[in-house]
Amino acid sequence: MELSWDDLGAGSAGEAPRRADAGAAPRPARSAPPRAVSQAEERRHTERALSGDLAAWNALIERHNHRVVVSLLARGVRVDRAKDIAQDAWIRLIEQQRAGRLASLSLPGLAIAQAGFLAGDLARRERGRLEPLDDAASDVLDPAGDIEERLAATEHLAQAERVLARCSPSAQKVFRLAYSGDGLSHADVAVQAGLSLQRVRQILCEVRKRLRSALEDRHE
Amino acid sequence: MNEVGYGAHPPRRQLAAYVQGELDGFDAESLEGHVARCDACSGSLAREARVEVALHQVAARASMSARRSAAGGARGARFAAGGAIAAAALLVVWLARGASPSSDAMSDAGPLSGSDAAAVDGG
Repeated sequence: MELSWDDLGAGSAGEAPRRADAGAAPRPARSAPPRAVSQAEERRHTERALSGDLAAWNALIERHNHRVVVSLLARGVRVDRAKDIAQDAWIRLIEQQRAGRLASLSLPGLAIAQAGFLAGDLARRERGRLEPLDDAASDVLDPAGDIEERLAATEHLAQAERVLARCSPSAQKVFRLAYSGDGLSHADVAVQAGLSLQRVRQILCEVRKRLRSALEDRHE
Repeated sequence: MNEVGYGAHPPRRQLAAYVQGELDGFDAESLEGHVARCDACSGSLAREARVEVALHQVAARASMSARRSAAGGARGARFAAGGAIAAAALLVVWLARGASPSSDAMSDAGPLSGSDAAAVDGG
C-alpha cells in the first residue's frame, strides 16, 4: 500500500485527509514486509515521518502494514475489511501528525491500536444500524474488551510463554530471530541460525502447532 | 510456496505462511480472494492470526524484559562507579587533612578478631 497526498486530501496541513477510495487505492503487491530493516534505518524513517515526509511514511507502512492487518484478522475481522481498516488507520496517523498531535511514533503498536479502535468503532456503529437478526456486524469484533477478555489475553500470553519455554534451545533461537522485530524472512533466519530454510520452516511450524494447541485448549 | 487457486481451500500451512508474511504476490492475493468468500477459511485464518499475534507478543515481552535487565545492569554499574568516585573523594579529603595515628595503626592492622576487639575496647 502506498499513499500519496491525494489519498490524504492533499490540502493544507490543517485540512483533514479523506479516506482513499478502496477500489482505487493501490494494493500491496505482497503481504510480507519487503526486507529486513535495521533499527537505525527504522529510527530515521520514524524521525522523517514525524516531520511530515510522506516517503518515510510509505516506507513505514510498507514495513508494518502486514502486522496491522494480521492484528485485525486475529480479532475476527475479514481479510478484505481488515486491509481497508488498516489503510484507514495509517491515514488517521498521518492526519494526526499533520495536525501536530503526534509527538512520537512507536510502530507497529500505534497503528495496531489505531486499527483496533477503528474496528471497534465500526462494529458499534453497525450494531446500532442493523436489525437484531442481521449478523453482518459480527465480522468485526469489539476490540475494547472487558476485564475478563483482558485477563484471558494475559493468560494466553503466559500460556504462550510456557509453550516456548518448553521448546528446544535451537527452536527458541529460531523463534527469537523470526520474531525479533527486524523483519527477517525465514530465509534470513535460516542464514543467521545456520540451518536450512526447510528446517527453519519445520521448527516454526512445530512451534505454531504447539501454541495453537495450547490456545485452543484454553478455549474449550 | 504452492499457489492457491481460486476456489480451493488453502491448506493450514498456506494460511500460516500468509500471516507470517511469507507469501508473495499472486499466492497472497489468491489466498485473500478465497478467504474473503469462505467462512471456514476465514475462521482458520483468524486462528492462525491469533497464534501469530501471540508469538509477536511473547517476543516483544522477552525483548522488553531483556532491555530492562540491561538498563538495570547499566544503572548498577553507574551506581558502583559513583560509589567508587565518592570513596576516592573521601580518601583524598582524608589524606589532605593529614594521616592520624589511629589511621597508621589501622593501615597495618588486619581484620579485627574478638580478642582484638576486646583489646581495642581497653581490656
